[in-house]
Formats: sequence, C-alpha cells, structure tokens
Amino acid sequence: MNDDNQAAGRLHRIIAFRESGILLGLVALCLLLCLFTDTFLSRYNLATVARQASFVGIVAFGQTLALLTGGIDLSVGSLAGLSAILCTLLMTKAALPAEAAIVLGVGIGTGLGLLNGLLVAKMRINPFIVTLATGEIFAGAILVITEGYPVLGLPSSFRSIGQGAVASVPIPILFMLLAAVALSYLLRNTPFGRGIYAIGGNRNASRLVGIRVDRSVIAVYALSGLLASFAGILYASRINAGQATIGASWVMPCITAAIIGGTSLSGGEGSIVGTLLGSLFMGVLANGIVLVGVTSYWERIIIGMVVILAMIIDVLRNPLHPLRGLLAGFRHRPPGRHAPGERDRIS
Amino acid sequence: MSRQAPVNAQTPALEVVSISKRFPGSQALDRVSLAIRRGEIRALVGENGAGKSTLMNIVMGLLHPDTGTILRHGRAVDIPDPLAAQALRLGMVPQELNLVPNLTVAENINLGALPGSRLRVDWPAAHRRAADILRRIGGNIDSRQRVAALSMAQRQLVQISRALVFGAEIMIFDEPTASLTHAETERLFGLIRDFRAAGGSVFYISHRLEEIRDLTDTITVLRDGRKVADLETASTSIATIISHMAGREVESAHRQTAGPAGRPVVRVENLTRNGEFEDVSFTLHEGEILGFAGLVGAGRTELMRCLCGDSRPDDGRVMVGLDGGLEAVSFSHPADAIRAGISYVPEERRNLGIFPQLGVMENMAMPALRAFSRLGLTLDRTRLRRAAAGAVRDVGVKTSGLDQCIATLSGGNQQKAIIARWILRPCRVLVLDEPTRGIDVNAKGEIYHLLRSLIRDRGMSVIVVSSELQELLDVADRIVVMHEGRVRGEVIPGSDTTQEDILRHALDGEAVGGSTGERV
Repeated sequence: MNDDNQAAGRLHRIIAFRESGILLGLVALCLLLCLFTDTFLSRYNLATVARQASFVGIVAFGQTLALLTGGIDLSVGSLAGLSAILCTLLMTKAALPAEAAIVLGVGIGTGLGLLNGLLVAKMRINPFIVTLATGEIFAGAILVITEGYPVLGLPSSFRSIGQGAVASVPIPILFMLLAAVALSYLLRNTPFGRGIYAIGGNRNASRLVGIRVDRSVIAVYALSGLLASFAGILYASRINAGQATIGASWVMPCITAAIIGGTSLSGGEGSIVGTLLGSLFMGVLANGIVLVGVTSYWERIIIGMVVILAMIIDVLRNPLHPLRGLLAGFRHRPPGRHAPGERDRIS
Repeated sequence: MSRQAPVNAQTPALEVVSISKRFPGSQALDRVSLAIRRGEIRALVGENGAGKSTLMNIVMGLLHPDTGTILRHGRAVDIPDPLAAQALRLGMVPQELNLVPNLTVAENINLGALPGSRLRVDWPAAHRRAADILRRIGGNIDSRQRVAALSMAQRQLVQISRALVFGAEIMIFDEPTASLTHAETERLFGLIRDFRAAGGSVFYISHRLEEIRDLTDTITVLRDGRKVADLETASTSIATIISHMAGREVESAHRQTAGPAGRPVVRVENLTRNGEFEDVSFTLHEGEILGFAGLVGAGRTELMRCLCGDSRPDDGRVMVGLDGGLEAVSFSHPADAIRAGISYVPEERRNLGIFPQLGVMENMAMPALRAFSRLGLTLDRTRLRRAAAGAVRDVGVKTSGLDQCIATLSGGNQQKAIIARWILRPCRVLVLDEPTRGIDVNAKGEIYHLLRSLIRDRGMSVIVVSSELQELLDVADRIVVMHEGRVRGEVIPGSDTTQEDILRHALDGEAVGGSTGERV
C-alpha cells in the first residue's frame, strides 16, 4: 500500500512532470532573457543558439539511448572528433567526394560504437570503464593522426552542409530535429525501442521474455557512435576544418542535457524529447550568460549549479524525501532505512 | 535509554493502541490495537495487503502512524526512526535481509556501533562480540567471513545476531522461513523458543499456517487494515485462521481430474548441468499439469531455467513434440525456447518477472511486441490494446487501466499479468516456478483455476514447481519429486495421497515428521 502510494506518486510524476519540468524551465529562461535583453529574440541570435545546441543535442540522443539501457557512453566526444578527422582526411588525402567521405566517416563512427557495444555486451565489462578507455584511445588516435594540426582545404560542397540553411533554418538544426523525430519514433513505436526500456528497467526479466539483450545493447552503442560521428562531421563542416579539438568538450554537456531532460542514470526512464529540451536549455543558458554580460568564464560554474538545482527540484518532487517532509512540517520515513525489497511486498 | 524492568507481570512488554495509518487511496491500518507479553510468541497473519508489515514498520520506526500510541512496558513512547526502536530494544529480521554482503560477519553484526574510537576500530573487540553472540545462538560461523559467502540460513543468523547485539527484547520475524530448508527451519524455531524462554517477545509473520500452529502462543489476524481476531493458538484450527483471514470459508481448491494423458509434448532425457542437476528424465503430456516437488536446493529452478533456454545443459537432451512426433531441440537463449513454444514464469517476480517502471499492458506484451507490429517493425497499438484488454479480462487482472504501473498492483495481480504474457504470445508449454509465492489465499485459488483454463481453452500443458506440497497435491496430475539435483520418484495424487508420500522422496534420509514446512 505504501508502494501503491509511492509508485502512484511516481507514475504521476512521470506523466505530469517528466518532460514538462524541463519545458517549463526552458520557457522561464527564455522569458527572462526576453525581459532582460533585447537581442535574445533576434532571428540571428536564436539561429545561433539552436545551431550550437544541435551538435551536442545529436550526441545527447545517442547518450540517452545508452543511459536508457542502464549504461553510459563516455567515448562520444573523442569518437565524434576521430570520425570528423578521418572524414576530412578522406576528402583531402584520398580526394573522395564529400558525400562518400561523410558516409564512410559515419560508418567508421558506427563501427567504433559497435566495438564499445561488443565490449559491454559480450565481454561484460562495465560500460563506464569500456567507454572511458575507448574514449582515451580515440582521443589519442586524433593526436597521433593530426599531431594537433587541423585538416584544411576541404571541398566547398562539404562546407555547405554545416553552414547552409533551408528556408533560413540552419541545416544542423534540421538534422537534430530529424534525428529527434526518428529516434522518438524508434523508442516509442518499435519492439527494439520498447526493448531498450525493458532492458534498462529489468535486464534479467528482459532476457527471460525472449529479448536478445546483448544484440540490443550492441545496437544501442553502435547507434550512439553513429550519432556522435555524424555530429562531429557536421561540426567539421560548420567550421570548415578537421579540428583536433572537435568533440573534446561534448561528453559532460551531452550527459547533462539527458539528465536534466529527465533521463534516469539507472536506466529505464527518459525520452528523446526530454533530451532535446535539455540540450536547448543548456544552449540558451550559455547564450544568456553571454547576453547579460557575464564573462563566459562563469559559464561552467553556472551550468554546474543549474544541474544541481534541477536535481534538487527533481528529488523534492519525491513525496518520501525527508527534506520535503521537513518543509511540510511532517516527519517521513528516512530514505534507505527500510528493508531492501520491501516495496513490492509491504502489506 | 535505560533498561526497564516490567512494572508487573501483567503489563505488556509492548502495546499498540488504536493505530491508524492512511496511504493515498487506502486505509492501511484502521484503529489496530494489540499487545504482547514477555515470553510470548505472537503470530501476525493476514493476506497480502492486510497491514502486517505496515504495523511492524510503524513499531520499528520506519513509518509513522497517523493516530494511535505505542506503549513500552506501559509507558507511551515515540519511535521516530529505527535507532529509537533499537534503543527501546526492538529488533527485526526482515524477509529480505538487510546485510552488507561485502563486509565481514563481525562488521555486519556491529554495524553502526563498531567498538573502538572514532579514529580506530577495535577489531579484536568487534570479533569477540560477534563470536559471543553467534556462539550463544549456536551459529557455527566464522566472524571474519564475508557475508556474501554465507548460506541464506547463516545470513539470517547474522541478522538475528545484529538484533541481539543491541540487546533486543522484542523481535519481529517477517517470513523468516521462506528460503530455509526443513532442518534450518527447525533450528530457527529452537532459537526463537530459547529467546522466548529467556523472557523475549516475538512477533512472527508468516503465510505458513502449519508453522504458526507449531511455534506460536497467540495469533492476531488482520484483514484490510483491521484487526479481526485475537486467538489462542492451542485452541485454534488452521481452518479457523483461514476463515478469519479470508472473511469467509474458503473452499479448499478441489481437484479437477484431467482427461486421459495426451501425446507427449516435452520429453527430457538424462538432462545434466554439473553442480545443479543430474540425469533428469521426465515426460510432459498434452493437457497435463506436471508438478515438481522438492526442498529448496533440490535443483528444480535450475532445471526449469535450463529447460527454458536460460542455461545450457552439459549432457542429455530435450525433445519437443511436434505434429509428427518428438524432435530434439537445443536452446541457447530463452528466445529459442519461446519460439519452440516453451515459456517461463519465474519464481522471483520482482527480480526476474516484472518491468517495474512500465505499465500493465507493456509488461504483458513484452514478448509479443513483434507479433503486434506491422512487418515486425512498428507497433500496432490499437490491435495490441484490444488483445491486452481481452487477456486482462481472461486472466482476471484487477487493474484501473492497461497503463497502470505494474508495481502498484498486488502480487497476485502482477502474477496474473505475467501469466497473461503467454496468452498474448501463445505458448504450448508453460513452466511456472513457485507461481503462488507471496500471494494471498484467494488469489492462489484464482491462479489454479487460470492454469486449468489455459489447458482447457488454449491447449497448453503446464509444469508447476512448488514448495507447497498441498498446492501440488491439489493442482498437479503427476508430481516429480527431486532431491539434491536428482529425480527421486514420481507420485500420482489420488484421494488418499498425503504430503508424507511426497516428503518421503524429497527428504531422502531426513526424518519425516514434525513441521513439514508446508504452507497453506
């Protein structure tokens, strides 16, 4: 009965707040910026913000898939960078046309993600460690290949993808939206997508109902690699260079975007829409810091504090949290002091 | 808190007066009062959801009552948290033990109160203290061992020791025998009786009414959050307890005889998995319920998981009946077994059965998603919803809607939803491991009827693993008895078959008699 209450409360929270919380935050932040700056709403500014958000956003979608299975992908940043470097080299050194180089670059990224997936699913190594290690390897490979110098002299057909626009909407934003729609559909309406939630919610039960857990997990890391490499290549196109630093600062923001978008670090809960909103929120926040005239050195401090604030709000929504009890003037059971497993059989 | 001697022998050691507790949507406890004396073992019985655990969690400071008072030796006390309960010398052995597996026995027993100073733990004292307690309760356990290396019975002794080390005078046992063998149960009962003889008081929660008859002095029956009876065990029959629990006389699930045995649908020959089971052979016929009896550790669960593709056998073979006859199969994944028509309803519903974050329909549909997809790719939710609604009706899941979170259902309804999986994804052989564990009396009867209807209406054949002998005698057409990984015999239940007939095979050398560990 107690768990009726707890789970019903949680269900309510999932339905009522899971994405509307971040949506509310995003709207509030935008309103504030409209009030306190006159440049925020300009078309140029909005396009810039959304384009900046789109690269990390695409990576964060893959991250969301990994988090949903109860895993994590820390290699996305350097995987994006390595794919971008290899893609640009294919155009300069191998003189491949841009389209072919992009397809090959994304293919390489998918393959690297597949490698992560194989190590996680088949070798049963903790995904945190696997992707931490492969991420280091990819980052090292970038340095070995480029020695720190950018790959320049790219064909103009390549540049037009990241810098172009359709109906004055920058192409990276369109790709992000396209990916969001496709992945949302995948997660909601396909057996593979529902299986991802099942695996994150209860891995053992998933296997017993006939879900090929290993295959799904491998596919998820391959997808994460695909999305990260595509974002990396898109960014190279945007800056018209194979910079060694592409993706180097993407890992934490993409995890942050997923988390403040409502994805659970322990798996089974979260959505692409939430992550999309989380990415936009992060982008608007960074933009706002600049617009209100705070030096951008403060950006990381503010983002860190916002994440903690978001998590505090999330935690306080839990009716059983002791601090909330104190606030309301009631005493509630302290967390973690009840017998484990009690939830399902308490009478 | 100083130790309080009883003011006089009449003052109860602990008394709860008119305790009420409301959870959103339900009155968990409604003005419940009860008392326990020194030297008394009091059973708390009731169906799941009756309020037993809520009451005990209030006594232990884990929950707080809306109204009502708790008296310790006649004085009103406030129990805001488990530490306060501990200071009042209340101890609990929960069903799911809360020990830290990676730590040693001594650390677990002294947890929260390791001897020594803030800067330095006095390890010799910690081990001495743990060893003293363990010796007192006759646990032959090395205090330096890690808890992870202990058997369930040993872990329970560690948990009991932890309560005793803080000088518990009142102990709460919540389903303590669920994973104990017959001999271990007897040992635990001896321990509880010793505790009583030393003046201790015990609240004993169990679904096994035979145990309650053998062990306890008094019985409190709860139903729907109210106390419905206070009984003296000596003058109470099990039938009386059941009628109080259910609120009506429950007809004992009476046997429905199956028709003549059909063709074989599964034949297992000499199946062996080293260290788990050995040389197991049996045949399941069409339309039959084949029971598997045995003690915990007999290898039944391991055998079923192998049969259902979760592990690979080292030797022997499984043959599945097809139209033409039997054909040998080999499964490398549960999905292979499911495709061959063999589906599994696991024992540990929470760990292996449900997807706690998902709704009832999704929990039911998980193995059938591809079948309910267009081209196997995108879900046809309309068709799925219609089929799921039908299945919910057929198996009688009580739910407020198809999207209700499954974790909010009672155990019996969760189990029905899990069985309904294999209606949405039809199978020919349904293997159920302890299908009624932790499920109340009435829901049990419904599940038995459900199994018969699956056979009758859907042409399934069923294997039931159960530790409840009466359950097997009631539902199974034949009972295979296992002991230590081997098949020891087969019993065909008839009107004169008794539990002793099964136990003789299952115990294999252990003396038959006393408490059988049977659950009602």
